[in-house]
Amino acid sequence: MIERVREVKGLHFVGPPEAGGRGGILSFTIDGMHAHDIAELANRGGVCIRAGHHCAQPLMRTLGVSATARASVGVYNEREDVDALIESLLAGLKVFGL
Amino acid sequence: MDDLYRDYILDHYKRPRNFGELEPHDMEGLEHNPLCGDELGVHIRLKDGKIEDLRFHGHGCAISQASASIASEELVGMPIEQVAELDADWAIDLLGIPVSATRRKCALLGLKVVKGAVTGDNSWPVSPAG
Repeated sequence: MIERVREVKGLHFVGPPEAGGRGGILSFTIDGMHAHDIAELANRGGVCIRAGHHCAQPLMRTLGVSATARASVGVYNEREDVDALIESLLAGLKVFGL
Repeated sequence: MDDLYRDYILDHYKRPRNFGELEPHDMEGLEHNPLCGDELGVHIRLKDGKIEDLRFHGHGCAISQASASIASEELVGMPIEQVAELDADWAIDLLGIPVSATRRKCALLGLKVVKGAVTGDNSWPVSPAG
């Protein structure tokens, strides 16, 4: 997932830049697109992600972001699920003219 | 055409009308939505019981920003008694797109902060029915 999200223009993720040492959670922002809009667009691709403060407002302030989108993968997910997320985000960039 | 992210919605999101600060102002309001991270404030200047000018400030999703921007164009010049009577349907109709239950709060945030500033009552809307 870490490798694929780099294909999305303007996407910034929170935390270590490499997969090692990370869990299966990826919290991110996209320039010019609010987290809730990111979630709406992922939803259109059949991908359910969370968006907002994640009950961590002090951390959001520290990170200097108003909200993040957050995708989580577990043992039931497959590569195709990540593909679907990336495809929906790329389609979303077009919708927003980014 | 995209049902939700129509061209005019994205236009208002990227180039919001009546956004910024307004000094001096007669009324102000501020609302946070702690769940989604939206924050929207308003400054209102009055003249003869009407909104002479108003400015929103803050950040939020395309729906909340566009809704505030579109509403701002209607609110300038409106008597404050009329503003106090505006209901959820007014804001939703003005937005002109189908709004799901989850995005309803986004669509109503602009009107909520204005009504709070004008009436001093921050509880609106009390129910999803508005």
